[in-house]
Amino acid sequence: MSGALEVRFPDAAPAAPRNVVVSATVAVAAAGSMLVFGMLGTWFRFRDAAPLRESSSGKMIRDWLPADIPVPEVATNTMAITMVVICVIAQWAVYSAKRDDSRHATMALALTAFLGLAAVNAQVAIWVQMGLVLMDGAYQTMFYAVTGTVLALIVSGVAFSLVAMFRAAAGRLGDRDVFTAHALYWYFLATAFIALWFVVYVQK
Amino acid sequence: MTAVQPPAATAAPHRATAVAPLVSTDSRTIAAVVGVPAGIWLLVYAVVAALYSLERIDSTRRVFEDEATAQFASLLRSTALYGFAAPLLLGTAVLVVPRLVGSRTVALARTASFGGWLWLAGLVMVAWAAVVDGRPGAEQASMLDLHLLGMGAVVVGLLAVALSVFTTVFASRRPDLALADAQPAAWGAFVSSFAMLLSLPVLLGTLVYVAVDLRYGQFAFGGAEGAAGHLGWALGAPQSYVVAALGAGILAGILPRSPGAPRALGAALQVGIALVAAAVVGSVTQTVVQLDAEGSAGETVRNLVPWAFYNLLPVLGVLAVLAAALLAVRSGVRQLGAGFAPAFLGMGMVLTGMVGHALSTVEAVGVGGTVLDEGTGLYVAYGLALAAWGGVVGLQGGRRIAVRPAVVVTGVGFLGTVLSSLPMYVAGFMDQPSWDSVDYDSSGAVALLNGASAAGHLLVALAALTAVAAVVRSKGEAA
Repeated sequence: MSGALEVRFPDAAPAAPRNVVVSATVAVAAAGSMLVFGMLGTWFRFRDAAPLRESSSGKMIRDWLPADIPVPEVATNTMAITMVVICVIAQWAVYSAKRDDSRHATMALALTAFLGLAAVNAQVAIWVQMGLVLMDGAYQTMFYAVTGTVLALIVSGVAFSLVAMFRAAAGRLGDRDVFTAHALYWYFLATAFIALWFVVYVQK
Repeated sequence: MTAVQPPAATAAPHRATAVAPLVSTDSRTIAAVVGVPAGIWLLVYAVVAALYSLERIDSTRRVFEDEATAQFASLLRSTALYGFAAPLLLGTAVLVVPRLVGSRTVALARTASFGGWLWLAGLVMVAWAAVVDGRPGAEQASMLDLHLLGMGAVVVGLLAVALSVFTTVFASRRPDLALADAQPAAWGAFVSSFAMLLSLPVLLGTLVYVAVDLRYGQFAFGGAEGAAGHLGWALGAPQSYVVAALGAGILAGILPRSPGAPRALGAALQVGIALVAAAVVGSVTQTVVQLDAEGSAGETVRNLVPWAFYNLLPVLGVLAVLAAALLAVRSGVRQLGAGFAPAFLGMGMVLTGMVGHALSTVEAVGVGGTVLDEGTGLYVAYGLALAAWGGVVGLQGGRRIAVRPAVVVTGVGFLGTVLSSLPMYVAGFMDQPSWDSVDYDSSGAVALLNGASAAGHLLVALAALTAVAAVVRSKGEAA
C-alpha cells in the first residue's frame, strides 16, 4: 500500500438537456426583431428623404407626418404601458408554473391573452382616431404596413397565450419551458412595440 | 470532430402513404421535400437560362417575343438564390446535421416540413407570376401581387427550415457535445441558418411594404417598376454569401481529420465560416458598398475600409476554408471522401463569384451594370448547388449515391458552371449590359460568349437531371 493519498473526485453531473422550445422561441424573437427593426430602418430612410417644412413652432422639420394628422397620445401611451404590463403578467405565469400552481398560472395566462386583445383594441383605436386614409400618400402606406405587421405579431402572441392557458388549465405544468418561452415571446413583442411607439408615435 | 452516432429510432416506422411526405418528421423525408424540387428547379432554371443566352447571341434578331424574354429574365433574377441555391443547401443541412450532432431527426420537424412545403408553394407562385404578367420592373404588372405573395411564402418557408436547422444544432445536439467541438458542417449550418434568421425577415418586411404600396396608391415604392429596385438587394450578393456559409461548412465538414491535426485548424475553419456569414451585416442593412477611387488619398482609404469590410471579409472566409482543403489534399488524396471534389470545386466557383462581385463594386474598373453581375450570381448560385451535392454525397458516407452519377454530376456541373459564367465575365468587360437582350453590339466575340454561356447552362441542366435521378434511385435502393 502506497503512502500517497488517493483522491477521488465525484463524477461530473450529467449535462442538462437543452431546451428546444425556449431556444426556438429566442430564434423566432431574433427573427421577429429583425422584421420590425428592418421595417423601422426603411421607415427612417423614407422619413429622412422627405422634404423640409416649417412646423407650427417655427422649426424646420421633415414633411413626413401630414401636418393635419394628430397622433393620439393617450391611446398610444396606453398601448405601450399595456405591453409592459403583459410582460409582468406573463412572468407571473412562469412563477406560478414553477410552483405547480395551475390555478394562478391559468389566470395569469388568461389575463395575458386578455391584455393582448386590449392592445389589439388600442391599435384599432389609434387607427380610427388618426383617420389616415391608406391611399393618401407614402406616410399613410408605410404607417399601416408597419403598424399592421406589429399588430399581426401581437395577435400571434395572443394565440400563444391561449394555447399556453389551455395547457395550464389541463394541469400540464410539467412543460415549464412552454411558459418560459411564452414569457420570452411577450418580452420580444413588448420590445418591438416600444421601438415602434418611439419611432412612429413619439419621434413622428 | 467525427460524426456522432444518433440514438436508435424509437418512433414507429412511417407507412408509405400518399400523405406521408406531408406529415413525416423524418429528416430524410423533409430533406427530400426541399431538396428534390430544388434540384428539379435547378434543371428548369438552367434550361431557361440557356434559352435566354441563346436569345442574346444576336441582339438584332429575336428568337422569342420581347415579353417572353422579359419573363425569362424575371425568373432568372428571382429564383437563383431562393429557387435552388438556398433550398438545396438547407435540404442538405436537414439531411446531414441531425446525424452530425447525435440527434435522431431535426428539431421542430413539423415546422421544417411545413417550411419545405410553403417554400415549394411560393416557388410555384413566383414561377406562375412570371408567366402571367407579374414581373417586378415591368411598366405594367397586373399579377405582381402574386409574385410578392410567392416571394413571401418562399421567405417564410426558408425561415421555418432555417429555424429547424438552427435549433437542431443549438439545442438538440448530444448533451456532452460543446458547440465549439461540433463537426464543421454542423457549425456552418448553425452560423448560416442563424444569419438567415436575421436577414430573411428584413426581406419579408420589405415585401410587406412593397405589397401594401403596390395595392394602395404606389406612392413610396414606385409600383411594379420600383419593386425590382427595392427587392434587388436580396436576390444576390451579399445575401447569397449568408447562404454560402453553409456551403463552406459542408466543405469543411468533408475534409479528412487526422488525429494529430492541431486544434487551431478546426478553429480556423470555424472562424472562416463565420467570416463568410459576416455578410449578414451588409444584407440586413441592404448595403452594397462601392469603391470610389476619385478624391484624395485620405478619402480613398476612408472608402476602402467599409468596402473591404462588406466585400472582402466573406472572400477571406472562403479562402480560409479552401486553404484548409488544399492542406488536406497535401495530406493524401486517398483520405479524401467522395464529396470532396464537388464541395471544393463548388466553393471555388463561389470564390470566383465573390471576387467578381468585389471587382464590379470598384467604380474604376467600370463593369458595374454589365453582364459580369449576372456571371457573379451564376458562379455563386451554381457553385452552391455543387457544394450541396458534395454534402449529399460526402456527408452521407458516399454509399447511398452511386459513384458514376456522382462523378458525372461533379464533372459536368463544374464544366457547366465555368462555361455559363466565365463568358459573362468577359462579356462584362466588353460592356454587354445585364438583363438586356437588345441594347448592345453583339457582333464578334460577344455572340460567341453568349453561345458558350448557353452551352454551359445546358451542361448544368444535364448535371441537375443526373443528380435528381441519382438521388431518387438511391432512395429506392435504400428502401
